[in-house]
Amino acid sequence: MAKRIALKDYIGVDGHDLSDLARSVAFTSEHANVDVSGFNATGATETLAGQTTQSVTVEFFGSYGSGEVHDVLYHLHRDRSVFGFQWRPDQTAGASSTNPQLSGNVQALTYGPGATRGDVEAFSVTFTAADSAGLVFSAS
Amino acid sequence: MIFQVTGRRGYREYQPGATFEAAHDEPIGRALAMGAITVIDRTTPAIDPGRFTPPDGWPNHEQEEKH
Repeated sequence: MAKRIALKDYIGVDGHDLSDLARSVAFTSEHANVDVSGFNATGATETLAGQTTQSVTVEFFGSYGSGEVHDVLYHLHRDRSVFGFQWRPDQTAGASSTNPQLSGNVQALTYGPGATRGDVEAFSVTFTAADSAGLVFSAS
Repeated sequence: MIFQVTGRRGYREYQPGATFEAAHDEPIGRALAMGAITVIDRTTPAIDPGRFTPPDGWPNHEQEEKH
């Protein structure tokens, strides 16, 4: 499998293509580590995988035009909306086994744009999985 | 319903200017409010009279009413 330089990623938020307004994406899926240990001779801990918490964090450029980052995200955050999110490595090709797409319904629970004088305005937004289907990678 | 992408950015992977058919759901409502898309046509599902008739030899509607 070839190594990859991330250049052509697709980022879709509530149907809107925000790919060229984003510069990083990081998905996290974590099962809670639940201690189910009983008394035992070795004193070792026994655990089971518990609740799954999933989120994806995207770093966006601050942009305030029509259909751009603030126009799309602020209302979704303010209104506590549940909306679709998609990410796949290559926007020039459809989802496939070699171009898997992460998708699911999410919420933007935090939204905090900010700026520093002289710097490019960019900020991170974390999208949290909002329903039992979760965020999943698929080939279609 | 048929929509057209009217904003400067893609919507549901359709490029600006492209048309697509979709149900009027909540995300579509938000996109309409933002001006990212507009309604081009409202489609009403219908079957044209005379299409999808029973096979030959089957009783038609008038014959069934006689019984």
